[in-house]
Amino acid sequence: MAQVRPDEVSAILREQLSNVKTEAELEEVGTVLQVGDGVARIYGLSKAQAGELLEFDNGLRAMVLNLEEDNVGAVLFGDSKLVKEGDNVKRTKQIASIKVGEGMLGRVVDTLGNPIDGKGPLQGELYEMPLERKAPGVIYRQPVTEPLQTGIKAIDSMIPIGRGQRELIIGDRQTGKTAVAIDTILNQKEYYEKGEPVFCIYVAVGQKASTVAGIVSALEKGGALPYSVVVSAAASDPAPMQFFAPFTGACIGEFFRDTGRPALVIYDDLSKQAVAYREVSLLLRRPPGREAYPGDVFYLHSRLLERAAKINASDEIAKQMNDLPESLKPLVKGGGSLTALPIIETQAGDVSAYIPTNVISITDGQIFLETNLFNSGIRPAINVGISVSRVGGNAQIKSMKKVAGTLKLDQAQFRELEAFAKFGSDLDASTKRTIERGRRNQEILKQAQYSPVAVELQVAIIYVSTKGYIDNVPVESARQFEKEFYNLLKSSHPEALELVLKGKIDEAGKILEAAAKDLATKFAKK
Amino acid sequence: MSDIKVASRYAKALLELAIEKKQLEEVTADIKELLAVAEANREFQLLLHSPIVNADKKKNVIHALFGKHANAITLSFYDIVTRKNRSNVLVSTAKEFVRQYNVHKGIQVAYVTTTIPLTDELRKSFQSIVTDISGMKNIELVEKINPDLIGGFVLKVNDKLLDDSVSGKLRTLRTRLAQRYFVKTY
Repeated sequence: MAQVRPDEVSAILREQLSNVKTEAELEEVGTVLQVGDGVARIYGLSKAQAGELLEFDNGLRAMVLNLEEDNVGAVLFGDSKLVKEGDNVKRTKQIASIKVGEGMLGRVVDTLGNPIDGKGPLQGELYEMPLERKAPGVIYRQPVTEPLQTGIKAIDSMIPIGRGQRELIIGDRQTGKTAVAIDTILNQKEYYEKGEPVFCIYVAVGQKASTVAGIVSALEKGGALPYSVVVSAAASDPAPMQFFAPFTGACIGEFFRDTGRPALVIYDDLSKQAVAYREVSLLLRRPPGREAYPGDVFYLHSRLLERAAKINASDEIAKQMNDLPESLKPLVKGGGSLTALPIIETQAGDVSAYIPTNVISITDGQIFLETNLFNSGIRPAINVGISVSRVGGNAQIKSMKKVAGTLKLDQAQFRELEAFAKFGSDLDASTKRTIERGRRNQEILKQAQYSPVAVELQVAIIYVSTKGYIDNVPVESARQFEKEFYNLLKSSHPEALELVLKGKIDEAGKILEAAAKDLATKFAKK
Repeated sequence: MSDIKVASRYAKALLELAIEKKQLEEVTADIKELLAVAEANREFQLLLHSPIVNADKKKNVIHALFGKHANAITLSFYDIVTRKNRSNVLVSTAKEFVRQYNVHKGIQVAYVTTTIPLTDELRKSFQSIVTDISGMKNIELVEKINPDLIGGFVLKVNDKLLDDSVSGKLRTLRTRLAQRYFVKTY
């Protein structure tokens, strides 16, 4: 006997049947002249617009990218074997767009916004959002002032990210780029539980489906799925799906941004997206440029990343924002933000390749991850010396700003002196102290994957470490000290953490000092 | 596909000349004959497309076929096309010519596919539909019978298509049922 599949429940079948149009409609059609490699040339469709979605008889979709004298060049969002020469193609009269809504949270969708996680159709009200939308103009923006806590000590202290910022994560393969991004999503759980969620969108471009499945289960385990959306265009998906996936992510993010809420979008990764775009461009016979990328690959990334923004807090101003989709207008609120964390994979640390230089110049700073740091056990393998955040400094909480200044200086001196220390020559006492403290700071900044740290704890540990209260703790036990210090603070000194959050670091400092010194002596004895 | 660019230029030249010489109807009849011959005879098409057969031979074949009754303008047009080694676009030029002729005369061609032969009454209603769609009064219906439609009709006017056939509806139903939201696909 045939097994009944879950989608064959009678109620669902009836709903699908009842939605079928019985009224014939006048459609504009064209004929396929040539098809192959994911690209079709279509005769007719004289009124088709650039960026418009087309539909073939078998339900396959395509998008118009080239408008020529006698034909239309379109990219297929599916297998080109499903289309034959002479097939009919009809216009859908909609510029490429997807349906977005709250119902997307906790789901995995493809580039066209269709759920692919097998949990049924998207629930709740959905709004039509265009994939390609102009970024908000200057009038509708505000400077970045609120922090986006990543939960990673090295980032939150020295390369702080603000809501509405675009911070590039760049590094070779296997340096933990995705781990940084996933930890950031996991850290937003705190805010979700507080009732002020930062909605997270993770866009996987050209990755193995198994990797995507792994990420989804990591988010699920970390309790991050209820406020996250995963957009997946796996390596097996056609190139057009891959290069549009970040736009899908941006447009889901814009939904939250324009309705006055903070959102975070991660594009993992844009180098694969650029490769997919190059493939499509070459097939459409657009002239190749440097590294065979088309001339507008810079524009591809700049228009995508410009959509990350902090929107003016005033509802009136936000309501007048440019290019708002009609369906979203009644919901628009000010004060929302979209933070973008694009990821770029470099080849053998070469940041002067075409795509890395482009994206570095577009973003508001970058986090460099390095293989040799990773291999020497410094994880996250962030090279603090060359990582920067151009706008995030204004977004740090007050107490973090205070302690981070010292930390940055200490670490810069430490790196300079560390090289000397390797020669084993005699060092004077102050140099020795700088190096020893640097080692402890470095140890403190290490962090395991999937273990984001709350910002008040970060401030506390960095405070005691930079002040030298733990200089007598052996370097090897620094991490153990950190763990116990957190527990101690949470159980016996919650008031100190409160003070840290309020920005009263001087008052909190006394409690932290006493607690740290007390705990440190215990470690020193061992 | 780039045929169309070339073909439209040849067709336009021929049309303008025919109008100037006031022999439009004769030329059109010749061109329609060429189309009929080409459609019925695949070998003739292959010959026109063949790069191996030289232009002279192609010219001779065309003259042997149409030389006796074709108009002088049409014949010289065939000569020019073969001489310029463009005989491969001859058929598309002819199609393009008919299209331009229809535009010139204000004739709207519409293609109707049904499962049963049309009655006069149906024909009239189709013509009125086509007038509604295109706004043209002179309508030429090209009728075709295709039992695969199961029922209803498909009407095609230029780029526009009115599909009210049972098979078309079944197809939309099929694509709708093929959406498998309850199956994990990543």
